[in-house]
Amino acid sequence: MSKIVDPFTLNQWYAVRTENKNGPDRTHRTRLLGVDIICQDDENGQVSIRRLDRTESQDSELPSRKRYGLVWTSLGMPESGIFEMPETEEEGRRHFVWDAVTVKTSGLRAIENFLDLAHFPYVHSGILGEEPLTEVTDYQVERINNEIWVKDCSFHQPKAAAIAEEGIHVNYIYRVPHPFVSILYKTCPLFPEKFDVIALMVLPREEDVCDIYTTASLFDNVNTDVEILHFQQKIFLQDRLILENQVPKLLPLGGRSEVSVRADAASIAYRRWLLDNGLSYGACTG
Amino acid sequence: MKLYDYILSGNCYKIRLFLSFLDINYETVPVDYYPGREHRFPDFLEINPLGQLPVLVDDEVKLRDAQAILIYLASKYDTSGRWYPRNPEAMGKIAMWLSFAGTEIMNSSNARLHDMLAYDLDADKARANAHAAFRILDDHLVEVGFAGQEWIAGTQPSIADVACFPYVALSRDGGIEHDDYPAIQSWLTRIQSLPRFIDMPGIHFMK
Amino acid sequence: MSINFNKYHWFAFYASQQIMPAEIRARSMWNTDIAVWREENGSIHAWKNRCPHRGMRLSYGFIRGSQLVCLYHGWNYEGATAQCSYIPAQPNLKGPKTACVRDFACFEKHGLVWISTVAEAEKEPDFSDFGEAEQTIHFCRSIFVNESPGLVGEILKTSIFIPYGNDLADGAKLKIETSQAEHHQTGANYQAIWQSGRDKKKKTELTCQTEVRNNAILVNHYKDDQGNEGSLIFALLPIDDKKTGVHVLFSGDFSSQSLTSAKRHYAKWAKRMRWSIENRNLQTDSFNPWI
Repeated sequence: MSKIVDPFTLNQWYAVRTENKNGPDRTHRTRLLGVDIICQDDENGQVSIRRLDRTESQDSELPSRKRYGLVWTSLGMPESGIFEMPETEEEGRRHFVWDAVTVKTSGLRAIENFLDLAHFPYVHSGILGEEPLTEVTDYQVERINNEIWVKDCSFHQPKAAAIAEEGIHVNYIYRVPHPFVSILYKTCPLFPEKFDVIALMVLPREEDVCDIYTTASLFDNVNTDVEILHFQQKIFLQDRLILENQVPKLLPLGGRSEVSVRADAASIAYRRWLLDNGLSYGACTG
Repeated sequence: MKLYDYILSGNCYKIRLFLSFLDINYETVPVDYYPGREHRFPDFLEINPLGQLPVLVDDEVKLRDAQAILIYLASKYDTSGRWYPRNPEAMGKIAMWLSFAGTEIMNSSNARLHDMLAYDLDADKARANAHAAFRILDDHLVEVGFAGQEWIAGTQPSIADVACFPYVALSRDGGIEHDDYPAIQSWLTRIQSLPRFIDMPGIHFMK
Repeated sequence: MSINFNKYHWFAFYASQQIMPAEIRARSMWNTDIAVWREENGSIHAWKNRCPHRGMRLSYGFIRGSQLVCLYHGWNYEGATAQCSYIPAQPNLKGPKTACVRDFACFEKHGLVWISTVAEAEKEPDFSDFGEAEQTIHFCRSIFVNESPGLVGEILKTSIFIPYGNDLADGAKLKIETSQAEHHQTGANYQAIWQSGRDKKKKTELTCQTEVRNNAILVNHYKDDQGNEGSLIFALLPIDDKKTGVHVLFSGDFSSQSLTSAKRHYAKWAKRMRWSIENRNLQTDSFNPWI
């Protein structure tokens, strides 16, 4: 490990692979917090995970869990299990797990961008936002059980989801249960009283490189899986261009080097929460 | 007309862009290139045994290879004749740059696939080769620019420009910056200013 | 020995013609990422390439009138003040004072945008000996060499070029009379002999005098025995330890047709210069044709 990882970061569960993806010999190699790790499937589909920086077999064995279509592990001692997403169990939803896209920036920058409404008309112009409807109305930010909740967000979106046929007013709720995970509940164009659930699960490979897994539980009875994939990837890769061009790559937590306004309340709350929990991995002062 | 398409592919975008320039309607068949690798499975291999995108189907005509598709579309549908002028010199020059787009410039795609989708490719080598190709293109644009030529193969934009554009513009996704190639930058801006230009993720354009 | 670069000097950052109205470009100077852009009315600005809001590189943004708009959240920055003037997410909010981009002094002269990253920059580079008329100095091209600025500058101090009117590609050989070359901190004087490859009897003697002005500008006055005379100017831009920008300019009166040919000639020379510097370890022949 190139840097001492703070306990808050170390003791989390991280998605390191999709359940069904596998490489040659049923192994998958990746990196977690600067450590090389290897996932190995046995005949029954059980996944064992080892870290490759330790030689003694008992020291190199890592915990392994399957959840939300992903394989999870931890380099530390997680205090609890993987966070719950009970909404996804609702009947009629279609579940998606999209394999990782690598982004050369801190995973924290990716989560912060996910919590941001103000960029929609510019970065996702014509899809998630459009000039001149750029105003971000006031929303609520709360801390509940050491999670961040962002509520009462709303935004006009020309094409809120693959299934949206016209612009609609969309309500958003964000939840941050983990420094590298954010869950979004947004108005479903098909059933305006229901929410689609989209989650970003970030694997910090290094402080300034991450793999981003996305899961979704949607109501959509029209589009094919591939059409929905294309819709999501288009949006996601528009964000990647931004993320790779933010300077510095590490997220500043000091509140001095980046100017914030009220529309950034979610970002400010997220940064403060990271700081209060003693996080330093992928972050910088300033 | 039907285009087998992947939203993040620069070669598919090449065709979408040109169809937009020509103002032609078409339908897309979205392919799960990543993560599904649908293009490597039998259903798609029947459409293109090389397992590559894009593929264009126009009535009885089925074509693979982005450059070949550009030639076909320009020859059949461009009534102005400017995108693929039928004179030996222009055709020769355009073929030369189409080939360049399909070979040298594809180093930029390899670096991007490595950096973005974790393809097991030698990214440093791909970046070095892409820089070498970009130098050649930048030098070319500088030299033809002295006589007022603003496009790769002549005084009008041609399919050579369309073919070279996507993976030059997308190279920053793979860690290849444009700072050293001012003539390329001006040329990219000219293409983005053409009527009916469309963008894709990684080629952002706002006014 | 290598040229000392000094941050108190003006550096030629970009060619004016490569930044049209409402365009923005960026590159590094001394590892600092700098964006240079024009308002729609043509006014030029050089700013630190970073939005004070969320650190996005401003060079991905776009220009509306006199405003630079950041791509990420559409924050507007006023050209004249570099101050945030409009935040689309909060249309009624006045841009906070702290949302101000660092701007650098810049001006345009001889087809180049010159910038200084320090407030107390020294006087502007002097080109008075080229006459008052701007058109007597012609911009050829900017070229980037993967070598340190100090080394590139030192090599260019005694570089030999064949004046316009001679064929670069006829197998010509050039020889520098090193015994007579005089190097000093501010320049070099040397003689060179150019021998045509096609016609061995054809030789041209060149007398060159290179002057280093404002550190990063090399002016090479040449005179040959055929009576041709002129100047080649290299304005160096230190990108980082491993890369140097070279803006190539030349002086003289040309008809529009011969001006195009002259630009082609010096552009060819510039490519060979780049090759020679980057491949200097390949060259075993002391009769080095280009540098």
